Amino acid sequence: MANQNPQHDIDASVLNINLTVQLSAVKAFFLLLQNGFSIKCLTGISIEQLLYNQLGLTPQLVEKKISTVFLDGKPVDDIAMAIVQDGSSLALSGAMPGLVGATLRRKSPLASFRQSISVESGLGKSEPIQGHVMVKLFNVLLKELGPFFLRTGIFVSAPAFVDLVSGKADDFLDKCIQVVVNGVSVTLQSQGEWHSLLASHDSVHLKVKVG
Amino acid sequence: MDKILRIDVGADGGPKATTDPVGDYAGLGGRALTSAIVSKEVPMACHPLGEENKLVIAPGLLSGSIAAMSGRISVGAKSPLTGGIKEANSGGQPSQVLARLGYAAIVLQGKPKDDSLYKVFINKNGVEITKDNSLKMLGNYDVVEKMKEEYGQKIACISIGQAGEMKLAASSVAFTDMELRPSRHAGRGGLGAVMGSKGIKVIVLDDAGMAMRQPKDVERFKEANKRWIAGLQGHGVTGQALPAYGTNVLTNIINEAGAYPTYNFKEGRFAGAAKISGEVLAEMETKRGGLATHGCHSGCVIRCSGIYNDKDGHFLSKQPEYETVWAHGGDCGIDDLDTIAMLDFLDDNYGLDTIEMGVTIGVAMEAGLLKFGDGKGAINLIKEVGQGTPLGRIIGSGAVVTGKVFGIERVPVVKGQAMPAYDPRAVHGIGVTYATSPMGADHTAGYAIASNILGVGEKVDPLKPEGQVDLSRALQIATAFIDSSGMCVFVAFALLDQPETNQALIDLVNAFYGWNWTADDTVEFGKRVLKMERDFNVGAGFTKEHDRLPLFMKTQQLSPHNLTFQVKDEELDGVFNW
Ligand code: SF4
Repeated sequence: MANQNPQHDIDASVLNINLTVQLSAVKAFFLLLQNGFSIKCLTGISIEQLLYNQLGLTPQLVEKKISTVFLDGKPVDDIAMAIVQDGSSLALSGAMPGLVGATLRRKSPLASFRQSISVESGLGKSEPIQGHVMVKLFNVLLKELGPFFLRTGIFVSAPAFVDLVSGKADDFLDKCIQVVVNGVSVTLQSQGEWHSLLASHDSVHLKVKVG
Repeated sequence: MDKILRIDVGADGGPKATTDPVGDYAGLGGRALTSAIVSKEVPMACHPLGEENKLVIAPGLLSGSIAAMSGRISVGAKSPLTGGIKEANSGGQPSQVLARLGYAAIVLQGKPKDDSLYKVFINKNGVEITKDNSLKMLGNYDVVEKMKEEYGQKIACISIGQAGEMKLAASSVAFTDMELRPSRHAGRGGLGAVMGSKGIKVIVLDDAGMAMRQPKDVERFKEANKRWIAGLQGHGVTGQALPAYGTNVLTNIINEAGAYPTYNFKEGRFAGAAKISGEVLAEMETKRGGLATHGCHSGCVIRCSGIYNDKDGHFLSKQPEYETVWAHGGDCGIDDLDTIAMLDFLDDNYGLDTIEMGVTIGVAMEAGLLKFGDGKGAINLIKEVGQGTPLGRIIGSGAVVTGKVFGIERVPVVKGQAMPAYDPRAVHGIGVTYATSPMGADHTAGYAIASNILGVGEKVDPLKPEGQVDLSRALQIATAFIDSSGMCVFVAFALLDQPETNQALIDLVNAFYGWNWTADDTVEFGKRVLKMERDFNVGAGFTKEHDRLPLFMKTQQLSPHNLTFQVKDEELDGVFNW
């Protein structure tokens, strides 16, 4: 995610948190990744351009693993023609079971079943501008892409981060090897300390690496 | 599988078993056989709980063989819930065991002379029927425990719980899994009530001393089975998503699509969906020492099931399916997996269809009987069903009865059966299948489609809106064939994408029976089954007006897409024009 702009971090309402965690703690972030997080990137471009040029994903991964794509809750057939706008929501999933699961897939032979909610290709094409896109990762893509997004950095709301820390209780905190807040290494031992740290911020720019 | 076991429960001196050759029913299995027997032998206008109705239990065509995934079993009768013909199918061990014992079907027929309960024991030596009133009003789990004490651990059981005994219209027939837990159910359509009306509480099967069923052409069969397994394991859905997360992997994406019926079909998205998703479920199961990947019968290579333990690591239920998690979860505003797993266990134990129960509780919540999101209240309601209180009997009779009793307009049913977990206002094509399936609102009725069926059997342009009627027809035909083969319907995804895997399935059937079927023949077979079922329903009083979604689907918009169901009635009427 080379183009993600760290200048966003200067915003005082955004707290920069860099975590180094044990490998077994990575799964703790999966619920957050399913619920959605933001990335800063070029918008007004196609999903295909976003995945390849902005995020640097390989065609192998996109074609084999990202079989189901939603743009603003609408299933996408052609990722080269669907345009991501500033503020869009992009959900990525593997191939899904069930008649409806199969129906929702990209270029599904059953696409007519959900024609009324499908993305109309090419609508809203505009000049590329920097913006934010909300990304949601589901099922096989949590493991496949989750560590990548966590490493390169994601924006989440402060309440969502509080939920993460509260929901996972102390064993998650134990698995945090190092915590760096706004460039300063800190020791936070209880959920209460996390809560007070986050209280005066709207969102968190989070980077997680495995140590 | 060359004989049919008939048990006349009304015979003088108590139920009597006779064994007939399959005769005219040769070459049929699973759904094709249950529907053939019901449509030929059951008067269409009969009362579902009366003397003339018959309960038919039939393993699939390939059950009992080494073919992977072949252990599904069909149960058929005239349905107390829909009033039409019904086939409900289930996983579990009994299909393999019954097939190895040589039975193409068990038929329960007649009317008991009194209200005694009976158990049936079948092994290589024959059939033994014993009166056993100690089983009265036991749950499925207790019944199976008693059978284990009596007949040992190497059995498979088919049973009903309290709901079936009370002849409630939402009752199921339970089948034991590989651990001898009655966790697999032919859930839909109230067939447990038909078994209850015959006074049979449990059928115990023991195939000790019986060999695996042998194909006509052993080498060809083995070779096709290898291709079949490779195709299933190599596919993203059957080889990865289903084994890792189970069917509940659908929660997140159906919710994202805005097709996740929430608060009794009021909205299309549930804020708590991620908390009850397959991803969270699988992680929780593994963490608590359960299993996130598990087969419901021997020979399953997809293994979409799992074991759900409570916080203390004790068995609570099998992994709840997507439909169950939705029905007891999002549709009722409940976002707690422990509550949902408890409801799943109670449904299994009392012998209730989880879809019908979840939807019915959603209707009761809308009526104000309890609040949306009230997990404890939902558990108490299901317990009332098991106890047979007056309120419990209302709930156990399903969504239509409950909606009438409490004066609710939005009752999501077709032909009296509750809709599953996909809202047709967002995905119109599924609405075509819900509306027109002879089974009532049924998600599995249009599960399977093979690309060569699209090419060979039907001329369909899938990208044209009008394609959905043609597609629904093709899907229903293909599913009727799969339901008859004994194959789990989840094989459908590999069939959809991989013509060579579809061919492997046809080759398996051909090698086993010495046939020379092509994809065209499977289409014809599926059509025959559907035609029998449609004809039965016509005789039972169904008209084209029954092939409709409830009116609110046309008048009340579903968020977030704010759509109503827009397929025209005339188009629905064209689904079975072939
Ligand atoms: S895939 Fe799932 S439902 Fe089908 S046979 Fe295997 S465990 Fe049972």
